[in-house]
Amino acid sequence: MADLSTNPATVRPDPSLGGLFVAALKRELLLSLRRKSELVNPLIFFLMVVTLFPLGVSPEPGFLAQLAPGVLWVAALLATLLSMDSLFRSDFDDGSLEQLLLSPQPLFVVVLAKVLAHWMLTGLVLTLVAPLIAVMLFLPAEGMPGLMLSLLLGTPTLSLVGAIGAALTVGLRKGGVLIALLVLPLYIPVLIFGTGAVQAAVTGLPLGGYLALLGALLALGATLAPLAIGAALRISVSG
Amino acid sequence: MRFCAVSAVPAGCVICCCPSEVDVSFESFSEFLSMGGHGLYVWLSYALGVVIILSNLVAPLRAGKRLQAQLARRLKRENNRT
Amino acid sequence: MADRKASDRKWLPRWFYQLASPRWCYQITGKLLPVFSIAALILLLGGTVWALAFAPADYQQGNSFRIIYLHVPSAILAQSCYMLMALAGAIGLIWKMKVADMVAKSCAPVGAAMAVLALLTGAIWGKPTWGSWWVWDARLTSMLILFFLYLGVMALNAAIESEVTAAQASAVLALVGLVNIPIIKYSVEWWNTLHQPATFKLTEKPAMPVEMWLPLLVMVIGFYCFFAVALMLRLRNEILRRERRAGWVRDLLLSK
Repeated sequence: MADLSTNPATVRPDPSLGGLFVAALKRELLLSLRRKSELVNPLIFFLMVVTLFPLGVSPEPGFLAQLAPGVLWVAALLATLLSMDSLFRSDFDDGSLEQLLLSPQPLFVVVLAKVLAHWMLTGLVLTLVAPLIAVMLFLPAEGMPGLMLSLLLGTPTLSLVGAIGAALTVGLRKGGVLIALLVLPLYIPVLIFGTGAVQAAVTGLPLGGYLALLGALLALGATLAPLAIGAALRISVSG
Repeated sequence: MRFCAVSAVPAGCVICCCPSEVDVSFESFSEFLSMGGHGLYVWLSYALGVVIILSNLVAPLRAGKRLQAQLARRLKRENNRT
Repeated sequence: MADRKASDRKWLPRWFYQLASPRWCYQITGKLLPVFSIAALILLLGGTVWALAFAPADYQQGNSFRIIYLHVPSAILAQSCYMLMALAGAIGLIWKMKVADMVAKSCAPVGAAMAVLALLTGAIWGKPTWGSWWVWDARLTSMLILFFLYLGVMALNAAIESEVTAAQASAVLALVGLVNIPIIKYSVEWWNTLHQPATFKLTEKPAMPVEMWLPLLVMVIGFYCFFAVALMLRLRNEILRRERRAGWVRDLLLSK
């Protein structure tokens, strides 16, 4: 009788926070990678927006080189913004978001994993591709490390803050421009310090201060944004 | 030109014994209007201020009247029906 | 319910829970409106006359300096109103008070109007001072971003159909904005020093003599009174609209 074991499938240890995080992350990445065609959209948008500036203003190298840090950052910001709407929408539509809110698992961890997965597929990819596109805007080679580092530190913050907007509007049928309206003012500090870092790199000034500020914004976002996102999700789902 | 700070009458009128007098910053009314060349900017700003303040007072008042009339009408309809 | 709440939180005064009653709020605002209206009228009219005719002109900027008597009060109001909106939203979220939600919703348009006035007067002031109809200086840019935050809250409130959900979502957004305001201010100021070697600021606050800041104080208080009036007017409309099914509203409407 002593070795009468219960069905092993029903005896499961409680998942640790780390395990929960990794599981949620894996789920998000798996679901997103199933729709590969949608992954490349932010990249194409990024490239197209960057192309608009020489076409709309002037293709002269000196002029574009001056514009490059700002244009690259604005384009990355807009590409991230456009991809935010889909963060929670598919889960909301099929009801799994509601299940998530009802489950006893801490929402903070799951939300953080979702945003991280989103960033890995948009912001991180933009960071890696940005130097190639920066060549089209004649950004000097000295500016490339600044560009990549600032985007690396800044785009996660953009994803976190954008997720707040996505969570607030997920209950609406057409979130689109409204998310931009809500989130763009909050993006401005990241934009200012991000372009500042790239310009400092171009002119040979030290980058440390800007990167520290971007890191501080990221730390603030990573700790506070999931709380706001969780609250917004509960409000949107219950409404 | 000097005014009484308390009663705002021109100083020199014998109506009140004035404790303190203040100076108007302008010599003449036309100078007041032109504001030393900056008349357009000053008067435009104050006109905008008046417009914005008044519209923020008038709009809720009118909306309130409309709202109360509408709700009263609906109530009377419901009362007549029952 | 009221008894349980009173015993749970003895540290909150009774009037705090009275505030939660829309009917009580309607009555008290009815009594406060005439007081604040008269105060606003006297202070604003008196302040304007003082600012235009009696206050001294600035040594450097001449008479265009008089625009400060509109610009600074409206800027102060725009910021205070946002804080009130976020605070009311937080109270509505935490204590689920309908009246707090209504106050937050009523704040937004007034605050946005104040921000617009601050922006317009700031821009107009820039023309005689710096030669162009708009300057990207730190304070004007921060005010513009504050205006965007107001627009975001108003847009979100309008987009959600359920009133309770809309109030809660707007409250979350207002609070997120509130946390961001110091960050935005700091970053815009830093950005401004990078791109414009510092000349002089638009308002030289520490160096203002009494004859200059006394009318400014009068205008600021007058603007606050005006804000109270505008807020109460909108709040009363909102209360009537949301409580239209209540008995006291029906009696009120039928008695007119």
